[in-house]
Amino acid sequence: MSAANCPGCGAGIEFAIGSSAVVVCNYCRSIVARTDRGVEDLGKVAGLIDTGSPLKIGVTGKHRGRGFRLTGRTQLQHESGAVWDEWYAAFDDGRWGWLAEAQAKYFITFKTAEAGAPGYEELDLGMPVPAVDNMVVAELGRAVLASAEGELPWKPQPSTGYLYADLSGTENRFATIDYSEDAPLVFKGWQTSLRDLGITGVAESRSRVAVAKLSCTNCGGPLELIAPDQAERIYCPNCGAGHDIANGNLQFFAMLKKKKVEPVIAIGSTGMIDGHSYIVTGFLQRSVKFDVKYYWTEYLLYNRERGYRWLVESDDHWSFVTPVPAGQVTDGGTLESPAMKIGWNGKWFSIFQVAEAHVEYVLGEFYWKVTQGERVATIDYVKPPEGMSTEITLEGAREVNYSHARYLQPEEVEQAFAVHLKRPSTVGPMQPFSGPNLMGPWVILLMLLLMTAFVVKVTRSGRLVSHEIIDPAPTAEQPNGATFFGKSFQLNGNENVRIEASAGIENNWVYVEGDLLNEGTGVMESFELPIEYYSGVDEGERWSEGNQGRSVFVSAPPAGTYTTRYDVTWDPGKVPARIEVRITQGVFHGWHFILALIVLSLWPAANLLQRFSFEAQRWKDSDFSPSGLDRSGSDESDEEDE
Amino acid sequence: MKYLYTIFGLLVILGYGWIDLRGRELRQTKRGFVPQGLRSTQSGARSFWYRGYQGGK
Repeated sequence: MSAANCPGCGAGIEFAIGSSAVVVCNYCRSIVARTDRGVEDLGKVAGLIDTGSPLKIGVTGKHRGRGFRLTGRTQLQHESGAVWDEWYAAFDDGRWGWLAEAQAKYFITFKTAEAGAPGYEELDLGMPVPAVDNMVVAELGRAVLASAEGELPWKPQPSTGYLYADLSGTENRFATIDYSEDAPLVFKGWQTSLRDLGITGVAESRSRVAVAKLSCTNCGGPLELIAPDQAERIYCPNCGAGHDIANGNLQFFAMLKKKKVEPVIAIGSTGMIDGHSYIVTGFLQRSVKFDVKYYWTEYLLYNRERGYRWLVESDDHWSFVTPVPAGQVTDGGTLESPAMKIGWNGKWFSIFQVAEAHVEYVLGEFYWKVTQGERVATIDYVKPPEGMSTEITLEGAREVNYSHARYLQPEEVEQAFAVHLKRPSTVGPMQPFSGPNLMGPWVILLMLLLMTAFVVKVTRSGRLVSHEIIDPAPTAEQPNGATFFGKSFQLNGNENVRIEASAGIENNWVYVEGDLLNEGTGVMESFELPIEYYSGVDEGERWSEGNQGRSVFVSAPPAGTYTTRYDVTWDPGKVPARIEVRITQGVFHGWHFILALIVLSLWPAANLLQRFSFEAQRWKDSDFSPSGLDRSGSDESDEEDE
Repeated sequence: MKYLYTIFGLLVILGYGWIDLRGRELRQTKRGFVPQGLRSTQSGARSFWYRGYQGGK
């Protein structure tokens, strides 16, 4: 520890950490650096902005088994005007850690000696950076030092800005490339939580300021800050006056320009989703323009432990949206050439729509400085009942945000927030098909049917029991018909009988009427076998119709001795053909199998048609087809493959 | 719905199996009867077929 006096005001200052570079004077806010010759005043910083941070200098914690103590912080201003805190953690082993805090998220990083980080101009959103463990660029922006306190491991220059790139990786990995010096500085670490850092006591003190009551500067109406430690902007629900939140005060900046849109879930309502309680802090109406403007609404939800979520309503379809770190998403596309599929959590999502979304109306409080007319590029992907959304900022700092959406049935939202909602009349992009998927049972039943058919086939004897040749000849008494009798034969029980007749006729016909008689019981089965066959050549093309053979099945006659009779009629002007009659017992009847297959398939076929119709309705408003084809004509997937 | 269809499908398969293993046909041939008196005579059945059944005495 070394003590000195502030060169700015003479007040006593103390360098408690041997490796710290500067101390910010508590009295005059001078940044005092220690040098070989003593101390040096680097200039003054503005007073601290109340960001509602639960952390403070002196707080201790542990990261991966190593203890640390917070010694100081800087406050950095984003291009949007929002301010975030970066705390400096002096570890027991002499290392320094950077603990950044923004939007209820915490990131702990450590300066690395890695060289070869690309220049700022070389980076683009969503781009993997090989020099930084292939993490992807999630944000590109410029920060300005706004304020500082305590002991810091570096020498900040008051009011100076620097460029930075935030990178996101798998398993909550996080990195920042800092362009404040000639060579880029790389800080690598993880997204974390106060609980993981062993900082628990401060979270309790934070909950004591959960709700702050303020008044609208325009209409005087009450404004309740639901998450005062996170809120950056609030719009009065009474008059639409927009306020920035700074140091616990409201600063009016603009009035809403559009007529009021009423949220169906009131701001301040609490609801349970997935077992967690969320409070509605804000409401947005957004739009995209194609042929006409299409509107949808979004409700910002807040849970102190889980952070922010969204409840999105479009055409009375609802979804629950969770932010996803960019590094966890496999996305090979860009805004100019979006990927046809992106991956997350082992699932692949198909592109549905690319659009530019505008904020039309806004109410309540938000963790960023939202404005009416704010524009972002959106790329939506679906895998019902889920979806992924990519939002790329088109103004200010360049940022890509991914989110995962899960379709909610209106009943789930009604139950969660005790509201009554309209039912959708269209098919939503993420809406799951409500009918059953009968393909699985159909395949199993088909296997069973095939097995049954196989058993039938192998157990049928297929025994030839009678083979008769009928050779009709016209007589004076019967010029075009005659009756013939067959020999007796034995039939078994429980087996069908097939009677086949064939005749070598050409442009002729023969008609056989027959009876199969059980000689024991006198029961006879009558059948008809009309045979006709015509063929020829017409305008050079050969044609034919009819058959030279015919068969009929008789349903399992009882076992016994049988005989047959055939009444044969033929064309009086022609010579009758010889007829061959074969009687077979125990024949596999293919039509029975086909009929069973048809009956078995009707239901799944209707189900499949219903599903196709549902999918057609889902994709009718998309610029893409389910296979990823751009309906404007070009096949983007080909480009992706290349 | 899946269970209902599965039960329906099983009934179809059972029906198919029963019909084919019992040698049944869905289309029945026309059934007639030749009296015992005619059948017991020599070529009785044949004479029945020639002349047709006259309905008793």
